[in-house]
Amino acid sequence: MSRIPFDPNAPILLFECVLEFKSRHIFIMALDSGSSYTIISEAAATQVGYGLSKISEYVSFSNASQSHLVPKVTLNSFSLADAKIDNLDVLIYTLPEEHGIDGVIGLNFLRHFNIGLDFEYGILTLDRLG
Amino acid sequence: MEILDVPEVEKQYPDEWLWFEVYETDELNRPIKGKLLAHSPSRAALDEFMNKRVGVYHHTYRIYTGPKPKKGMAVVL
Repeated sequence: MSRIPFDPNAPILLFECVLEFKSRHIFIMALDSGSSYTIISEAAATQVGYGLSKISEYVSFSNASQSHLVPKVTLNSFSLADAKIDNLDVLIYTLPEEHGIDGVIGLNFLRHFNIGLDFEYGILTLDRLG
Repeated sequence: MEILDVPEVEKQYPDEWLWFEVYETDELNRPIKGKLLAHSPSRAALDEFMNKRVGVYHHTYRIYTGPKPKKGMAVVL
């Protein structure tokens, strides 16, 4: 089981996440169980090795205000602390700069775990299923 | 540039986007030691710098050191 600290008073729950494709990079992402997919910024996708102009698969997704047609790619792995999922599909979409993050951790990652959010002590637990 | 304590460097550049090459992480994959490659208050400026160096660095870390989201802003992701 992974036990990962977070700031229980923060407006969004932030975590260092490791993205691996051709290389391995760490970006700050927000936990968002309301997002069906994990989303990474264009800068993150480019840095791990995706050529954005060469991506052929696109997915339509909607957020609170509008719909977007965005690229979908498969990372070799995605890790939150020592909780690692191989071959995770992610959407590439850059959130507004005011958010200060490079993506969101969505349900397609979270559903591999039983998750717990302890707001008294600021601890996220991820217990791998199976 | 020398290898430095990443959390300490973050404190020196408030409200900026920072990009490090990572040399050491803790057990939760959080960066501990690294070299500051670039910093800017502008995300676009840092994006441009990073895009010119794709494939050069194989383990990096990017963070915005200001409030997330910006003060006074509520977020619906």
